[in-house]
Amino acid sequence: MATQPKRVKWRKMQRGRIRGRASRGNKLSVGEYGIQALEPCWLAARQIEAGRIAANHYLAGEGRVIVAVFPDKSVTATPAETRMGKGKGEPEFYAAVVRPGTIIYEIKGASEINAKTALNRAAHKMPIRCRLVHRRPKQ
Amino acid sequence: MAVAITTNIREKVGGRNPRRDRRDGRIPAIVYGRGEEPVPVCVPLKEIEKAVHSNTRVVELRGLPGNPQVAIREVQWAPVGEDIVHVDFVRIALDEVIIVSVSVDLVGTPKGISGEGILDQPTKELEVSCLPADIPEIITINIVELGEGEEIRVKDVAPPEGVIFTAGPDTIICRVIIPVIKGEEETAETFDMPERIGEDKTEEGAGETKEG
Repeated sequence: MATQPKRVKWRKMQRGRIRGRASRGNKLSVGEYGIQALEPCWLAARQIEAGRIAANHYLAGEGRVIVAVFPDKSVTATPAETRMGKGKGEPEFYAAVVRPGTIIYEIKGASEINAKTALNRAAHKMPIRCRLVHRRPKQ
Repeated sequence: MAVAITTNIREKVGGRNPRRDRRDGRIPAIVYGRGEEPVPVCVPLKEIEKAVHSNTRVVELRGLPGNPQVAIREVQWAPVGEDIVHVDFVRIALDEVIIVSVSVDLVGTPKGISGEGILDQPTKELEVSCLPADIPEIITINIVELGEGEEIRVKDVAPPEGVIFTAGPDTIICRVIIPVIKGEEETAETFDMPERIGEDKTEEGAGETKEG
């Protein structure tokens, strides 16, 4: 099921702008492999879910997929064929704000070849360019 | 034998100066430790990249007074890409024990993951205490014999000669766990509005409606 907040303080949010690169959430935390966003975007909850399912189906129980982003931004839309005005539209979906550098998925416990293929499949579900990253040896 | 790196002392620090250094192929770095004043330096990109990628731990900084031996304590990377942004060097004495983190490399496929088990590695780095000359490049552990539900702890691993693990003996390095299989949940196509904090459920939506 697509994730979204259980409780919110305010239903509607201002859009804001995505500026700069990810200053946090840009390193692998628990996994050995992951995909990193190279472009900014609002990643909708259903897109996150599609990528998660694509990776999980390929791995078929080997290893574990960790979703490293959470859609906590409500996105509103005005219905079609509605006249201008009458205030802000109703929330349509939730999205995660992704900056270049954000790690979107991580995989742990899977073999290198399977993890890379699974992440490649997940990357195809993303609306942005992504790159594969792996853990560096500790300096 | 420590790798030698040519070093220049940075006269201008902060602001746009590090960016200019990086543009000219020099990486800003800092040398500290052993009760001496920190010294901002810059090192050639190619030399530090070569040292980092070859997993070198101890380097000799040529160009500083006394050509001190230092350990690479931290390497900062750009959030996107493979660029080194900054390096921390800590002064060491070759006859004094130091504590460093060393990556753990698991070799082989555990027999436990042939079934439902998955390999979990909670400890990816181990802190070791040793002389600078004895720092292992990597700690390799053979996990072929690891069965379902079994684990390898720090006490099960024989440290290399001259090395002491500082982590607790019961710290789990890796294990084969059996995941709890949940039924694949159906993706909800409908959008459920989340509950609002502080909203009275009896007057649902009353706060949002506008009069007039």
